[in-house]
Amino acid sequence: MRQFSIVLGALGLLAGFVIAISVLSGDSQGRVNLLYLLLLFVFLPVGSLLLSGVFLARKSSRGLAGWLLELPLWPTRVRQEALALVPGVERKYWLFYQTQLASLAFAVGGLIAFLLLLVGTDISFVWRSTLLQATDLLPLLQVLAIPWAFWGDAQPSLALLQQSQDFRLATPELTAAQLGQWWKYAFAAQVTYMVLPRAAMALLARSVYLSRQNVAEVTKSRKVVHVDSLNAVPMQGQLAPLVTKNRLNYLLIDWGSVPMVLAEALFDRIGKPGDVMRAGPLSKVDPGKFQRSESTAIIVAVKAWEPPMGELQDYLHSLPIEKNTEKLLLPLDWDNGGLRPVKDSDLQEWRRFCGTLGNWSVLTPGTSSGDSP
Amino acid sequence: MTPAFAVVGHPNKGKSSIVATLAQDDSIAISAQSGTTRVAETLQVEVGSSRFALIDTPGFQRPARVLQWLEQHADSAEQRQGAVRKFIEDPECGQQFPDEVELLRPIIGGAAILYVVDGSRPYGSEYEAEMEILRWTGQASMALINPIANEQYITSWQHALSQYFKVVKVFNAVQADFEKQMSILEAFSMLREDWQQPIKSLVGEYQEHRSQQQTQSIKILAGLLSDMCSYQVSQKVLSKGQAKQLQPVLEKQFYKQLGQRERKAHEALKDLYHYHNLDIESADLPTEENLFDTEKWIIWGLNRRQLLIAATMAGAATGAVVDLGLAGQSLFMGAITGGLIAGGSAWFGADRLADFKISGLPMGGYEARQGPMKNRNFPYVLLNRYLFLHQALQQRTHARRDNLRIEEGDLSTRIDDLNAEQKKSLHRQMEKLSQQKTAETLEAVLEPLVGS
Repeated sequence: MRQFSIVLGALGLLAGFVIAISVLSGDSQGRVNLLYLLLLFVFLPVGSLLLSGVFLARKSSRGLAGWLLELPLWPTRVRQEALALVPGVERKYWLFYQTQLASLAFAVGGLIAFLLLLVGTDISFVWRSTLLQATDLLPLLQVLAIPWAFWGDAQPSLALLQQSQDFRLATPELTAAQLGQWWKYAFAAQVTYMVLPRAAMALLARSVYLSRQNVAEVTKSRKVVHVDSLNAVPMQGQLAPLVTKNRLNYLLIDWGSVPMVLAEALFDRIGKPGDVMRAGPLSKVDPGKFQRSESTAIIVAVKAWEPPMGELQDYLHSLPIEKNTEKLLLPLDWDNGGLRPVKDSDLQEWRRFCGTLGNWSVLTPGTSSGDSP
Repeated sequence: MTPAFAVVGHPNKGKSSIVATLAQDDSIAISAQSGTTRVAETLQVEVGSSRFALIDTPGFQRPARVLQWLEQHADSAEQRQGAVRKFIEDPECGQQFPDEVELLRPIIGGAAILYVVDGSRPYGSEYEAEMEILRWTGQASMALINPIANEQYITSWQHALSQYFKVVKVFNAVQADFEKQMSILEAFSMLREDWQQPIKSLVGEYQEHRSQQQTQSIKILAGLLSDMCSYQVSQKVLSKGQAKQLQPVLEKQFYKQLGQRERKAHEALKDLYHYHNLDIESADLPTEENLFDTEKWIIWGLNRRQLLIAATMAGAATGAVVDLGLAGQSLFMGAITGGLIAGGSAWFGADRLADFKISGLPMGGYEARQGPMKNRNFPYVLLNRYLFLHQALQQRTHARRDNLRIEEGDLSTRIDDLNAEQKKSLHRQMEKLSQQKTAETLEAVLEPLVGS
C-alpha cells in the first residue's frame, strides 16, 4: 500500500508541476493571464476541496484514489492489500487519505514550478477582459487577500490592477519588472488556497483513517502483562503399575476418610483387612506405632478426586515398611450412591504420584473406567 | 494501589482457570495434571485506563504442618499475621514448604484472597487447615465455589466456607458468560472499601471494551461479505483456446482464495476476542469440498423456501421504489412484479455457482474470468458461519482448552427473531451483495443479528 501512496504522490507532483509550467509560461512574450492563475491557484483548489468534503460525506464514495486503484495498472499485491481493508470503514478512509495526499502533491508540484519559473524566467502578470474593469476585479482580489493581510506588499492595488490590464493592440504602461510585482500575490494565493488547505485535509484524513483501524485499537485497549515467567505444563513423569488384585493379608490405612457405609462394598472387592488404621493430614496417630507382620501388604485408601499432596508424600515416606512389602495405593471415588468408577484422569494422576515414590503400585479392583498399565 | 487478587486453594481445583477467565487470557497454563502452577504468576490486566492484578498461585501441599508451625509461633490473635510474615521469611520454611511460602507471599504483600474449591466434589475436613491459615493472614477474602463437573455439593461447601469467608460465590470458570464474569468482578469491590471505585471503573471499561468488540465484529463481517461476494479472478490470454484451458486453474484459485479470505476474517474475529491459542476446526466452505454440491449450501445458508421468501421480500422492496416514484399509479405492480421475478430467480438459481466467462478485449486478446459468486445463498452461508463463530467466541471462556468447531448454526431462527423491517433490509442488502452492488447499509442491517 505504501507503493500505491508513493506512485500516487509522484503522479500528483508531476501533474501539478506540468500544469503550472504550462499556465505560467504564458504567451510568446512571457505574459501570464492573472485570471487564469486565479483559476488554477484559487478556484480550482477550493472547488476540489469542497468536492472532497462531499465525497467524504457520501457513504460509498471511493474518490480519485479509488478510481485509480480500479485501473489494471497496479500489482495484484497492492490491490489485495487495499481490498483487505474493511470496506465502508477502513478502505473508504484510506482511499480518501490517498486522494488527499495526491492532491497535496499536486499543490506542491505547482508551487515548485512557480518558484522555479520566478527564479529562472521573467514572468509578466497581466489580465485581460472585455467586460470587467479594474474596479470590478479589485474587491474580489481584496477579499481573497484577507488571509495574508499582514503582508502589505502582497496586497492588490487599484493602480497596479489598472496598469497591468492588457490589450493586445496596446502596449502596457508598466515595465516588465513592475508587472512582475504580482508574483507576491500569486504566491500567497497559491500557498493559502492550494497548499495549506490540502495539507490540513491530508492530516485530517490521516487521523480519521488511523482512528478507523479499529481491530488493532480494540485489541490494544485490553492488555494482559505476564509479570512473571509462565508456568509450563510439567513433563509426564514415570507411571506406577496398576494392580487389580491384592493379597488377602493386608493392613488398610484410611487416608481419605472413607465413609463407614462404604466399608462393606469396599471389602467385597479387596477382601477384609487384618487391621484398619485411620490416618489423614489432621490425624494425630504416629505412623510408626502400628503392628503388623512382614508378610502383610499395605493398602492406603485415598480420595481419587483430590490430587496427591505433599502431606501424603511425607506420610508415606515416614511409614516403617520393609523393602519387600507390597505397597498399594487405592484411589476411591464415591458419592451419595456409593462407590463409583475412578476417572481415568484421576487414575493417571495417582500413577504419576506413585511413580515418584518408588515401589508403590496403584490398586484398581475392578472399579476403573478402563485403563491399562 | 492497584487491586490485586491472589487465587489460592487446593491443587487442581481450577485456580488457573479462574485466572484465565477473569483476565480473558488463554495463554495461562491449565492442565488436568496437578502441580502445573509451581510459582506464583502475576498478571497485570489493563482494560482501557483501569487495571487490576491476578496472581495465580501453587496449591497448598502441607497445610496441616504449616498451621502447626504457625501455632507454635503465635500465642494470640494479634501475633498471627506476624507469624505468617515470619513463616514466609524463614529460609528453612522456604525449603520445607515452598508452595505455601510462594502462595502466601503475595497475600502478605497486600493482595486479597480468592479461595477456590470444587463444588462438584464433597467437602472434606482436610480443607480446614488451609482456610485457617488464610484467616491468619488477616487479608480481605472471598471464596469461589467452582463447580467443575456438577453442582452436587455446592450447599455443603457454602455451609463450610461461610464460617471462614464473608463472601462466598459460585463461579464456574469454564462456563461463566461475560455478565457472570462482570458480576464476580463487581463482587470483588466488596472486599475492600478503597477498591470500590477502581473496580467499578474496571467493570465499566470491560463493558465498553465488549461493546467495541461487538461493533468491530460487525465491521469484519461486512468486509468479509463485501469482499467475498465481489471476488473474481481473471487472466488475459491471446486466444480463446488458451482462455478455455485456463478454466480449471482459475476455478481452483477462485475457491482457494475465497476460503482464505473467510479464514482471515475468522482469525481477525478470534484475535478481537483475545483467543490467541484457540484452534478453530471448520469444515471448509462447501465450495472446496464439492464444487457442485449446492445442497450443502442449503444446510449452511437458507433452504429453497427461505431463499424464495427472502428474494421475494427484497425484490418487492425494490419494486416498491418504482411504485413510490409513480405515486401509486402503478397499482403496486412494481412491488408484485419485483417480488415474483426475484423469487423465481432465487428458486431456480439456488444451484448456481460462480460463472466462468471469456470475453474479447478491445485491444486484442481475450480475458478468462472466474466469478464472482452470484448465488443468492452465498452471502447467507458466509453470514451463518460467521455468526456461529461469533456467538461461540462470546459464550466461550479463556479457560477452555478444547478446539472450537464451526457447526451449521441456525440462521433462519436468527432471522425469524428480527422484525419485519429488519428482515426486509437484511434480504435487500444480501441481494445487493449477490448482485455485486454496493450494500451501503450493510453494517446497520447486520447489527441486530450480531448483537442478538
